[in-house]
Amino acid sequence: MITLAGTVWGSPRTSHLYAIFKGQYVYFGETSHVPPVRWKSHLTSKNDFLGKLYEFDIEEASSPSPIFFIGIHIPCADLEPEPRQKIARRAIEAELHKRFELNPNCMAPARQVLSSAPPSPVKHTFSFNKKEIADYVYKMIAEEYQSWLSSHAK
Amino acid sequence: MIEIKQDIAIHAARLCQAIARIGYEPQTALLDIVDNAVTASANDISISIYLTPGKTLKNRNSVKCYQVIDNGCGMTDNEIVDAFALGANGNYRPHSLSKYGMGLKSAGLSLGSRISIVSKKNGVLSKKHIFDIALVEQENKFFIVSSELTPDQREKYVSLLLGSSGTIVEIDGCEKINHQSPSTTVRKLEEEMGVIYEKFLTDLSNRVKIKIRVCAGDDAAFKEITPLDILFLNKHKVWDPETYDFSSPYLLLDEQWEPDLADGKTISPIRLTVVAFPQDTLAKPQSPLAVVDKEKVKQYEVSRRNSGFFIYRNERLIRWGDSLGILSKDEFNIRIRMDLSEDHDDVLHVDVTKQRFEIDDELLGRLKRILDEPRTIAKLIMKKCYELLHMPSGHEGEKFTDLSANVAEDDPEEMARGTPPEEVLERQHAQAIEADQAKAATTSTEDQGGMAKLGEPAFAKIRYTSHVDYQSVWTPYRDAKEGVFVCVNTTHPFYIEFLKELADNSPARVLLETLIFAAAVAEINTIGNLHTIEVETIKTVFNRFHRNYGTYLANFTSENINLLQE
Repeated sequence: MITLAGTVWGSPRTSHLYAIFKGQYVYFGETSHVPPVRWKSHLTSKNDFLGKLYEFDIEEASSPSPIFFIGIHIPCADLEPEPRQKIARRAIEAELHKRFELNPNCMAPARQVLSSAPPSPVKHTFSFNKKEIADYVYKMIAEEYQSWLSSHAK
Repeated sequence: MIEIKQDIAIHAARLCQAIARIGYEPQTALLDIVDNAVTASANDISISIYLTPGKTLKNRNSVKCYQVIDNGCGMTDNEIVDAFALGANGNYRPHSLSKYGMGLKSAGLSLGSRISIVSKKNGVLSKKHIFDIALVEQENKFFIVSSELTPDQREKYVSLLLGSSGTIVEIDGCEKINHQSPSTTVRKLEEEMGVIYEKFLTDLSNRVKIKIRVCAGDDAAFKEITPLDILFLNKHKVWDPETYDFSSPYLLLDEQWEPDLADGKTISPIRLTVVAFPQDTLAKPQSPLAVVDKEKVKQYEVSRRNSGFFIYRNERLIRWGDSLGILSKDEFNIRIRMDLSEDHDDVLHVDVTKQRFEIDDELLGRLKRILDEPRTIAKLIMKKCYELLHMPSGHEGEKFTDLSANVAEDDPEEMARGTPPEEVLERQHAQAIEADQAKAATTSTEDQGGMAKLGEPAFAKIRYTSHVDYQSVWTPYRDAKEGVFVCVNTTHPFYIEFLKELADNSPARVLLETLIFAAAVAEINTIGNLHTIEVETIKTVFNRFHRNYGTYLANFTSENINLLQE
């Protein structure tokens, strides 16, 4: 049966956060482009998502269970001066990792994060509240993922 | 197969000895008895420590009797007998401080060999009930001795229980237990009870009063325990790296942690609150802080002992300043509050004494990651405090200006030539006009508009300012008289993350400024003197250069955040 395998859209060279789920594992990251540009290496490079999963849990990595990708555009990071955009994305990414450690339950069945949280840039201030943005992004990811899980289970 | 049930003997004496050695220190044993009073809804609790005649606070084993009196709901005779039972009936109210119903016996027997209880409930005074380990050992049986009060005893207990309800717990036979000197016990109780019961001592709806005294043959006055929030949450500020004030506690985390237990199980959230304090040395006379700020810092009593995890169970502190194997001994300006409830007892293996618990490795790992950022900020605060104490000048660029006073800025290609060509002079004139604008934007009002006088600051060769193109780390200028000066961009991530953190007169900072300045001299001389190439072409090249330079340093910065904290 022919089924939709997901759609992706976005403006090139804009700030995004993303999450990748497979089984019990999740990976969070950031990019300055539309996420699929980054996702390719996550499926091919031994240093990224699938590579890390092979090291951690070869059974899950080899299993045919689906991989779920989600990207979130964060315009607040684009509004920062260009030299600060990457740091801004990293700040939100660090908060996203913290959200997961504080409350992993809404990402169930994912319990284990494969990505390493970047160090939080504590000396820098931004035009946005990184905690509020991360909270919002985290909820969006959780809702989309749970919604997909429910429809996929059918 | 035939199965038969066989009763197992209980060796009462041995069991009592084991209960007495569960692991209380005298102050924690007394606190367990105070917990019972709080559980009984008491709001007035008195602790009296009676010394043996001829002994002082400094002598070991010098306590004759411990007495705890409360005005709680009291107990009937039957209820007192039940209270002596090993293991409670488990019907505690939610958020009770009690757990297994062992506190009275285990705490009491760790303090002395005899526990006596007299109680009053709804105006009715009970008998005196005594649990005496010597009698238990004699008969190898658990029992208490209950006797009617003598007239003297009645008079005494009536005077101690003035309300309609309350309980008196007395523990004597203390000389038979090997204990630290009571001065340590009293000091710890006085220092710690205000923190341990802070919530109860400040609860407006039911404020608890706790008093303590030591009697050496006298009827000493009580000292009331004052509450203390060890995190000083009512005085905190929210972290902003640009406005750190060196004297306030900073709230770094206030979150609900919902640990994942696997198999779909959940427990109620654990509130995590993290506050970082300034270094205690900022309270010392040599600190540059104002007197009022020094007093503020002093009250926090920042020290290794008063740092780490402060673990509360049902709002009562059970662990003081624990590192949990996460914090290092150098992290003594951080305090982390964990608020547990009885829901967490099993998951965290809270023991009978309610003093100890264990977090498994997986949960510990999560906790560690949650605390990454607050710990980094706390370390940054320590570093800022250290630099404030050791930073002699506070004027960025001043040291470099001083060191470069006699260093020439000549273009080596031009040194052998005579008068520069007209094109070069025109370019230098244009540079001087640009320089005037930059000077006006970066010179303080105190310096503007006057000739240099003795004692006035020298012409600043390195200027830290936000009046720089945001993509550039620095922009060079040539003043018609003073020569090259350079404006360093204070909004660039490289400055914020690294340069700013180096003390302004440190060798590392001066050397970095030298590298920047040397590049600035090279750029100015090239633009000004390379007249064989169109000036706009040269400027285009350098603009491209600065763009690459600034982008590379921004990327390096984002990949190496907190490098200087490592």
